[in-house]
Amino acid sequence: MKIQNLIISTLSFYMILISASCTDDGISPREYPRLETLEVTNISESGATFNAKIFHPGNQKILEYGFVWGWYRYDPDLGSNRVFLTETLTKEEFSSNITTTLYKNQNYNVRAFIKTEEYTVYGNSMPFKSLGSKGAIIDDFFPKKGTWGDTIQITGKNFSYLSVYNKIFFKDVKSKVISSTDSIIKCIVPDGISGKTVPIYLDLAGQKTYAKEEFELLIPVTASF
Amino acid sequence: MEKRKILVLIITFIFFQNIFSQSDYRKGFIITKENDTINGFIDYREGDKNYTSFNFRTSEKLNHTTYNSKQVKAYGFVNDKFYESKIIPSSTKTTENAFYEELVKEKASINNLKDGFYVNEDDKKIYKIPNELKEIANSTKKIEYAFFEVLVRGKASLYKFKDAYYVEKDDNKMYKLSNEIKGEIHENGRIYQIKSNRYIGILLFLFSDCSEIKKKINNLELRERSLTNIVEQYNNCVGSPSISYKESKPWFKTHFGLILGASSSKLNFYSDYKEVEYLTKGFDGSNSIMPGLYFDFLSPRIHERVAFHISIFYLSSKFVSFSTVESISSIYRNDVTIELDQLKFPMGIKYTFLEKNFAPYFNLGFSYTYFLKASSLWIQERERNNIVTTFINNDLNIGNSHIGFWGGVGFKKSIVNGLNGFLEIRYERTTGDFTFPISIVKRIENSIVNFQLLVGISF
Repeated sequence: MKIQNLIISTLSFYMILISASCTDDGISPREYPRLETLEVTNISESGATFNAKIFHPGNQKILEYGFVWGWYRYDPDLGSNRVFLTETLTKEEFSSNITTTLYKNQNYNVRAFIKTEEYTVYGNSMPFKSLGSKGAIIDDFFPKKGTWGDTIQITGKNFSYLSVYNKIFFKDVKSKVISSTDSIIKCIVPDGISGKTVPIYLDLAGQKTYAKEEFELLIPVTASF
Repeated sequence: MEKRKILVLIITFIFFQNIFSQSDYRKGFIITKENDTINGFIDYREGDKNYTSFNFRTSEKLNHTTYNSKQVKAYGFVNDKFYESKIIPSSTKTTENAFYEELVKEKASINNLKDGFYVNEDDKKIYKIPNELKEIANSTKKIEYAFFEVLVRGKASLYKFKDAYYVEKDDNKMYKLSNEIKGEIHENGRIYQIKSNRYIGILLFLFSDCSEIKKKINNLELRERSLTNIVEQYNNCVGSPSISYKESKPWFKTHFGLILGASSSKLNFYSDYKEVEYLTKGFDGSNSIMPGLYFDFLSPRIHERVAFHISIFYLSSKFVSFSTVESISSIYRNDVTIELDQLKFPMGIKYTFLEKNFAPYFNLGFSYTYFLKASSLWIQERERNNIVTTFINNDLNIGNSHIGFWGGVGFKKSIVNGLNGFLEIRYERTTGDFTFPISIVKRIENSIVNFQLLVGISF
């Protein structure tokens, strides 16, 4: 009888121990989603794939999400190069193939981000070394003709959000870019170009992309004086 | 945590109260002063108590009687230990003193001696009796009796008294086999002890009539096993019958067992630095299943209840911590996860109280833990103006091993012949290296405390 009591006492004691130290799966709750930037994959001369994982969804509606990246010395934010993803998040992980804005042999940091109604959440910085990227695509520009100082709007894909990255040239003369999104660049027709038509191209991370048509330069004519 | 400690104390108290209230009576016998043998049951104990007294009862249902070395001539267990009452010889006697002692023993008093002188009838020499010896002689307390364990009986007999061994030839004087430290040599910063090897000289002298074992004596260790063997060999050599009372008990035995344990582990860090506050704020406990096996190595012929114990366990622990630190402009939320896949090697001494159907035991020793895999992850989120920035850090370096101590109490119970089941609770505390390569805090004090419940079978 004594032995049975001892066994029961011991087992009871152990059950108390187990129950007293029970834990959940190790995730402490937050209102905002929590995310981790994962290793960059598929790094090639054509670009790279950015990856992220949401390890806690939070309880707020996700408005925007994507990646931001920049030089490796800095933690990038929404003022850096970025990509917004439009697909509705259904899985814990999301990715994006980046084929532009990446210089060859340049070290970068990338971070995933999520914007909710109340918070902007950045994942951790993930460093990687780029092997380069493809150029952007110019679909069109408008107006097709103009003169020095006019503003031209270029439409296309895979432009940088940062104007400093989008180097627009009229023939060999660099234009001043006044605003950029990933699909629209607004720039000024530079002084010093000449000729009836002038080719326009975008130099983005060392990759040149030409517009299909050339810009027709209207030279002012002096009617009288 | 305090509740746990109280519970452990209560269980330990109940456990030991249960153990100490039991005795281990085995079949035995006593030989009275009148050379009568009485069979009965004797409480089987290990330790120095056996040399002074024993508990005897003629029937398992009767109360016991305690006998000392003056009351009986000898006692023993069936096919096991045998003790004989003998006078304790003084260990540091000159020849002269030895002579006086014999004198005292024979006469029990030297009051009849005149003027402090005594003439020995054998050598016709006159001995001066020192004053202190007179006092000794007048006091019968000096002649002390004790039970000596008879390891070998024959022309040459071997006795054990506490930690000392004695040899006797032809039922004459008992010689203590000793190996005193005579001095020390300091050489190259080391200290070397010079030992007397007196026991070798005594054995060479006593066994000089058997040249076959001379070489073995020269290389003999002062241990029960080697002494028993050499005395047995001597008796064989001179054609004398020899009895080794514990012959049926093996010199070496191994027990093997399989264990399935459960461990409740707690990881603690200790530091006054703010930089590592995310570690010192405390981790949740980790509960894991812990399979393993163990070996007990024992020498039943020397100590039936004492074994060298070593276990091997696999334990996977995950420790999680969450803490919040607030500053004027920001809130820092810290999640730390430390995962350890461990191979544990607790080793130590196991003492079994009773070798019966129900055998309680305790064990304690030191523990070595090798980390098969050790990883740490610290996720810090800084919230400032509703912008949350995540930092992931895993630069806490975890050394590949921990060391510590452990202790446990348990019992084993016979299931079928040769197969035992056992239940044990253990406490273990280990510590090791947790370091930071890039921090002002290079190393942080730590401990892992494990409460373990072990269930298993042993062969």
